[in-house]
Amino acid sequence: MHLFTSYFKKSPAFFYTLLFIFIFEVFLHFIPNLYYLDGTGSFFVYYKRNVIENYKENYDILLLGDSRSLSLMGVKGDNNNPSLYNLSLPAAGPWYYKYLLKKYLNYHEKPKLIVWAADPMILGFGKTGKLNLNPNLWNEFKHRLLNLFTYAETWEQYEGKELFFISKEYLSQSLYSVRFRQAMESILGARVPALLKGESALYSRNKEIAALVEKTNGQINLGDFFFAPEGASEEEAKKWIKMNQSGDVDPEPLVQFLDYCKTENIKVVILNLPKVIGIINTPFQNKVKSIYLSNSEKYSNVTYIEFETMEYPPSDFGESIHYSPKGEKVLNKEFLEKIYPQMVEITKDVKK
Amino acid sequence: MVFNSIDFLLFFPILYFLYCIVKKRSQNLLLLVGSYFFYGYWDYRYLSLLLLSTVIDYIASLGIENNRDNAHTKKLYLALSIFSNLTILGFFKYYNFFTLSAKVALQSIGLNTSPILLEFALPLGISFYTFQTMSYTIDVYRGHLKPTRNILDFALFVSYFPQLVAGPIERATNLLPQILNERVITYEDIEKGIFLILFGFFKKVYVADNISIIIDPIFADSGASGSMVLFACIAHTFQIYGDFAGYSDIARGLSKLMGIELMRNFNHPLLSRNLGEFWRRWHISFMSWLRDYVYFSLGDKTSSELRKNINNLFVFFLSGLWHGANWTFVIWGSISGIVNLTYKYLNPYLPGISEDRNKVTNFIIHVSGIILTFLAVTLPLIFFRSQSIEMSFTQINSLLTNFGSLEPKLISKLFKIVALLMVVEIYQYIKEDEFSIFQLPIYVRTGLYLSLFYSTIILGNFNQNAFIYFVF
Repeated sequence: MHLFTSYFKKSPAFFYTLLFIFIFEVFLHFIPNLYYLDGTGSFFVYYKRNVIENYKENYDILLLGDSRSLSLMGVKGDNNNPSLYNLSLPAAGPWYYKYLLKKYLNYHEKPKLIVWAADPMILGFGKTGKLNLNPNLWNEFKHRLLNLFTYAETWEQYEGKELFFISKEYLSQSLYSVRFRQAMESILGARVPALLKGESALYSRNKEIAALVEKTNGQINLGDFFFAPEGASEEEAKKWIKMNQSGDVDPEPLVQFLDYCKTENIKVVILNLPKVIGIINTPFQNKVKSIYLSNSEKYSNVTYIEFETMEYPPSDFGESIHYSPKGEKVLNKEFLEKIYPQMVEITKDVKK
Repeated sequence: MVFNSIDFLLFFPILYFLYCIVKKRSQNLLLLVGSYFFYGYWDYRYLSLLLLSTVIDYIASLGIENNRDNAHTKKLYLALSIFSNLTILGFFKYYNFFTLSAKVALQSIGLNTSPILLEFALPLGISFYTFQTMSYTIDVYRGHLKPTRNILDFALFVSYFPQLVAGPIERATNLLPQILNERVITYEDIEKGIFLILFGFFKKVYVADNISIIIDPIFADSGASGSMVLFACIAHTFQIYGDFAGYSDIARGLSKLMGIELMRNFNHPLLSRNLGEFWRRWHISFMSWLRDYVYFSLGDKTSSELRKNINNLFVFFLSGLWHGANWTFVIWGSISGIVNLTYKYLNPYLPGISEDRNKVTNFIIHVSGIILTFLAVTLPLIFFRSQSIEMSFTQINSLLTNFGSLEPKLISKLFKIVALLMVVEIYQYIKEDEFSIFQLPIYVRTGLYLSLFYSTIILGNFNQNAFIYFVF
């Protein structure tokens, strides 16, 4: 201790630097909704985490999925219609859904129905472990897992090498200035008066998204934001069709999720969403569909549902995956008119 | 393990804590184990090469010492060391290069061959530790140094982790006595060490890795205009400086925390007024290695001017080859040698700083010298950076025939990245002391440390964490 204090007496600039860093990092903890200044990807995960941790409403139907199922409209609910919240998040692998549901259940009453609406492709990573340790992929997507769960919640999800790896990643996030790097960058890049008025580009965009998602109970169509309105080309569609011609399927994440739902006595719908023409009957998609069907037979609480029209033209997609504004309209028309009523039917005999 | 990784962030504090609480003899053992862990963390199989090099040089140095009076045997032991190290280096780094080059040469005279190529990664830092251990046996041979009989101390000299994979290439005369003797850690060491680490990370993560985002697409674009190529070359010089000097600073800073003084590897080379000065300030440990162990072995002061020039060119050629097993590096080294030689003959005709001139004129001459030197170093780096010789020539062609215009945004981006670096460097250069920062008022220093820290962790690029010189 003496060595420590003597050192800082001799090097006061380092002492002041450390003091400033400490005060600044603590200060950041107290800034409400700091994530509104962060990059939209990070913001969105934080936003949904906030819904889980702080929203009081208990939803009747909870829809879990990825960036494609984000397009499905939520339902506010009333005395006759159960509420549906779309808790889909941009893809972060197939394993986290069980823990996301577990997290939700820690804060809310049990929903009457859970919808697994993740894209079949997420079961195509094969047996690579829970974390895909490809550094480029991980750097791109790590915020989705790191920002969604606390370290304590993460601790039970991994073991061995993967636990060590993700623990290190959490360590790097322990400084708020690192965790909210994009927010810090936007603060550094913005003019302070503009920032105080909430005119930072990221802040405005995130606020707009939050307002939209509030209205739609979790829904947002990525195709409205990121892709050309005219939709995907035939060539692009062919590329995705080719990708679906082969590939291993690992049903384990789905099976574990269904086991968990069974233990919790929650009904589940496995929902298969429409895809670009030519994909739905590819070998890979057929393999996944047979897994969906066999599990809906195996588990009495599981029902498999698909859309009447499972194939949309490329113009209904942004880049053959996410729905274009036109595709989203078609999708939600059928979803609300035909799929949602089926879900309502399933929830009818469920008592909360 | 790389310095700018979480792994290292965990590794070093644990090692340092243990280092501070154990006794000196155990400190060396701890550092040795830590160094092997540091190296083996990347790929433990390559530790065998490090051990092989260590054992051979240990035996060779003792063989030389025990045969002081037997010139022939002494020479044989030296040859054993040099031959073994060059064989390891040649096989792992240059085998594919020479084999493929031979294949192309044979093809050109109509002979088709299918040589066997090696399919494993280049062992990290192999060029650094083989050169370091060779210098040890050469120093023992020359009588500059008594070999150590303790193999653990010697093994630590070879594998000392802060400088193991990217230098500085230490001389045994500097590092070994510090390993053998009691080390004292002073407050001054800690202060300087922390500053060097902070500045090193800033150079690497903020300067070098952010520049790479800007220039990588330009160097990959065969249609880039001449002005873009020129911009990319200039930015690349800052990048490679930030990357390599950053690593050296971190290595020196970590060592200072442990009471070990590593040699300075960069002394504000970008502010050199002429080429001679540049090569004395750039990668000092390597350039002085080439001078002491190659150039001086090829000739001495009495050699003819022609011989000296040829030796000089050979040293630059070797420098290029050392940097990478690719003809682009060889050409870069050779061109740098030619430019250096040209400068040598032009120098007497160039205006120099003189007390007879007024301050403004001297200042203009000084700054002009810095700019011209910078350009003379920067342009040959096209070959250093390009993926292939063809690409280098395409980009030179753009420089000469399709200069075009440059996006002002790029210049402002580069300026933002290098501004703080250059302010600090210029201040250190003017004061002729890299720790002159410590003389500044407390609030300025605090502001500087905070700027370096937050620029690194907020604005730094952590996605590209390998140091460029790891592959050399």
